[in-house]
Amino acid sequence: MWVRLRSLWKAIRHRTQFEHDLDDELRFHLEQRVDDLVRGGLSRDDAQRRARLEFGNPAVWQERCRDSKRVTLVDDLHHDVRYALRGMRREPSLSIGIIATLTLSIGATTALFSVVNGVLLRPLPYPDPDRLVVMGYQNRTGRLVSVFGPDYVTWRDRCTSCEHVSASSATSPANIAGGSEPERAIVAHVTPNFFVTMGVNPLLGRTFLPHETGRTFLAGSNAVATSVTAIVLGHAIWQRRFGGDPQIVGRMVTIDGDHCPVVGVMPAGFAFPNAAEAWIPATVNSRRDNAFLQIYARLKPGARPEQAAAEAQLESRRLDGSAGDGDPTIVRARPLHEFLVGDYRSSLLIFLGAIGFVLLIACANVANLQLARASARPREFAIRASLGAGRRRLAKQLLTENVLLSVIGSLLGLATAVVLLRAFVSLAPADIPRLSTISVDGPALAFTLLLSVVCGVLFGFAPMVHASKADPIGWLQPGGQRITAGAAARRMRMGLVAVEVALALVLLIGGGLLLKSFVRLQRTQTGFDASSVLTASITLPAATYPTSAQAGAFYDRALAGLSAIPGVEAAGVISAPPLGRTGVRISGSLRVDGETNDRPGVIARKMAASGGYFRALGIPVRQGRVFDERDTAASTKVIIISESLARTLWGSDNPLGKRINIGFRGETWREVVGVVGDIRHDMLASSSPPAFYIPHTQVAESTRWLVGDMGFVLRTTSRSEGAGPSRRPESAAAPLRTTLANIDGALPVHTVALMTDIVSRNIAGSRFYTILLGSFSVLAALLSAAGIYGVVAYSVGQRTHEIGLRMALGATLGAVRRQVLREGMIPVVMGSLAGLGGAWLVTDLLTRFMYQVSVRDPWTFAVVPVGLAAIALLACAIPARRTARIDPIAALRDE
Amino acid sequence: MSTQAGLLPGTLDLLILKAVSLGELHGYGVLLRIQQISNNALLVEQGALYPALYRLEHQGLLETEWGTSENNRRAKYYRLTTAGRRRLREETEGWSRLSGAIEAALRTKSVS
Repeated sequence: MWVRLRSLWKAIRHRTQFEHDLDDELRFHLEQRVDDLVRGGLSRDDAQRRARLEFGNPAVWQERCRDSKRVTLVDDLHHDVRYALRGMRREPSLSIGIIATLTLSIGATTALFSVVNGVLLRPLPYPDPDRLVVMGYQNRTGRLVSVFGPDYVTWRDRCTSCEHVSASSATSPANIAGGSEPERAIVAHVTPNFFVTMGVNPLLGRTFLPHETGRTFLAGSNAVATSVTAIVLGHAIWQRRFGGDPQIVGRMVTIDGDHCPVVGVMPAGFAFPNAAEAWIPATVNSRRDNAFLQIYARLKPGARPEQAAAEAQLESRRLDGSAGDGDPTIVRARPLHEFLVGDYRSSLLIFLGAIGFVLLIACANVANLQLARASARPREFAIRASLGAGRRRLAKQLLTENVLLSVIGSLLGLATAVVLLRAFVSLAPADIPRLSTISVDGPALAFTLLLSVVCGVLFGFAPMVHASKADPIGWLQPGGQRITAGAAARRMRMGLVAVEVALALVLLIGGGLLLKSFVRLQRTQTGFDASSVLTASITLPAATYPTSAQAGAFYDRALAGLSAIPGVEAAGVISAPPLGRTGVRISGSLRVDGETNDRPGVIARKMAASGGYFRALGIPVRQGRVFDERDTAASTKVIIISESLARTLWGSDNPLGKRINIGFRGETWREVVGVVGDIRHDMLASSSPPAFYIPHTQVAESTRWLVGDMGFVLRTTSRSEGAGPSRRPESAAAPLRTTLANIDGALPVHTVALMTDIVSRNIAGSRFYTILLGSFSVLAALLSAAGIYGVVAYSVGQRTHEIGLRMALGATLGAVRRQVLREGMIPVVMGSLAGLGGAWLVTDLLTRFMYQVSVRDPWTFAVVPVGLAAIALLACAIPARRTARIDPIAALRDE
Repeated sequence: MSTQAGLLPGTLDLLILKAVSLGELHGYGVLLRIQQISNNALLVEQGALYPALYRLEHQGLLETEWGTSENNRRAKYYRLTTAGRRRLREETEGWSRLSGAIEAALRTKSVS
């Protein structure tokens, strides 16, 4: 080994000397031979000819000598790269086509991979994240639901396979004051062992002690009212609100009216659960009548989630036994990562698969272009082969060209990925977990690098096979190119086109289905009129508004003020603003007067509203009236029900005057005074549940929470008046804030938004997926069109001679064109058939994205292939037209 | 020409080593020596000689030195190294075994 390296080193270092010596040595041989031959009786001329003939091509032997010593390794690379660059400049359109293809596909792939990596693959930023699980009861749909307090306590104390079991009772917005302006922050209510369970230590101070309390979440009759006695701040809010004050620990702040000390600050990046910005102690309810705890547990090393779930189930059954509850409880434990990523896992994997298709198409395309290029240059290869380039050397040259192209493509692709990723993140629905932390990072870089090398080798392979068959003699004979114009290569190119078309068609059909579904979704009737409506939410602190009556009085004053704002037609308040996430979103059963039990199977959305709400949102009143000044705390308790609830409860009977008990504690019978239209409450894509509304002035004291967090809805007169740009719904935002601040200056107004924006945000997920798959499929279609064009154009270019000959023999231009078109479209038709079959098989994956559209939608399956075929025909037609320019005489003369 | 036999693959290296083992030679000399010791029975493609020489040198079996030829020209001389000598011995033994075996096989008249 050592000897060889030294020999190689010497040869490389003394390269000139090496070449010089090599020349000398061979010349010496020839001269000696000539001398010998002359001595043998030949004339000097004859001797020289004879000697050269005997020796063979010196250039070939020299190249072999170099190979023997491997001197050319570095040299060749340098040379290949230079040669490749020169080649690219010589055929710029081809090179640009290849690089553009790679840039787009590698860019898109890398961006999407970054998303998948950031959301799905990267471990959670906590120590031993694999041991973190979420535990809960499993409901009928397989989802984990919240847990009762007593269950949590026994799991925490008796579950031997868990190191820690902690709970979070709620994550809700709260008003934090401690300076000039109140701040609204997302506050998580957590048990003291929550932080140790997650394995995260505070940056400053400490976390909670067992005796510290938070506010009792549901102020039931038996619950002891407590106040918040400690708060832990998140890093961001500490920086923003308190200027990163290092002396923060011990400082008093006000949270929803309670004064409490800051006991600690968490490190940057910790915002769990639900993007919490601060934490207060959770109060665990000791009764099994209201399940609201989310359980986060850390397993002991080696313990399995199933073990923990089985143990917890056993403990809960024991509690069931004492409580005599009917429904057996099923407890499940799911890894935290899986729980958080949830539904996005399959969505993202589907899109990763889709982008894989795009990448394959791109590779096929580049292979095609390269193949076309290679078949246009067998002469070049033949010449190089006859000048002493070995087969391996030629293959290496091709490989260098390909890798160089893909490296350039991936560098540009990487830049594209950064841009695309930003677009992804801004378009994506906000509830995709960990989206904000995504960047084109190390793993993504490695992924791109791998992609570029694999692409280079993959699409370099086809032309390489082709080139290694280069037969110098055949190609150098005049007209040789015409004879051998590789039928095999053409079949290969057609095969690649068919594959491209098939893949593109699958993507296009998927994209078409999503688009149709999205259009349907957009046309869905919300049940209300969102235009010119402004919404704003507030949270009334329990400390300053402890009773329902006080809250009701506040809303009355606020509504009076808001209605007086110029340009406001109607103002209302609602406990659960439609299609948003704010407010109190609760559903449950109810009882009808005259019946002893709850109506089985009737689950209604329960809301509190003012009469102005229906006017402001334009919800039609079908029967009776909406709430007005008559409906006070002292008057008869009333209720408005939705059309679907009326139908469900009483069929076609007149519901007015009938009585309902809404099932909350402290409630009595309520008289139905009105029936209103159904609206979409949560998701545009899911049908409207039955719903009822009670007046905000008639909320029982035990259900004060129903009016603690409400949304104002203002209808403005912006639409028809044409009174100038100032009359836009947004212009009511500032007077809205002033009006509310005049009533209570410490009350922050949050989520001020146009109703139209809320509606469009509600379908952001659908829009995101549609844009994503739509752009992938358009990219795929363009790439395949470019592929088809390339193949046909090259085929026409190469067969100029043949076409000229046929035309000279009497073939009409039309006949020639038809033949070109036919040959171009054969792979398109084959690919389309394969693509249709493939799409039929895989569109099931899109079921969960569909809204009122079947995954086998015949319209989409018919129109999309026709559209693609039209594009393909166009791609064939352009080069086919070029045959008109072929002059038979010139073509035949062109040797 | 018909009396000359083409070389079996791999035998050129062995012949070169043998030729050089009989004394220091330049490339052309190696050719002449092979023809001489094989009584002109073996056909050596002249150009192919050089890649083989370079290969053997690269493997450390031959060492080279520039010198002056018998007619006063600059020429590169090849000499066997210790490793080359050992390789020649091994290859010679291997060849003898092989050719003996093949000869014996070919001489077989009948299988009893």
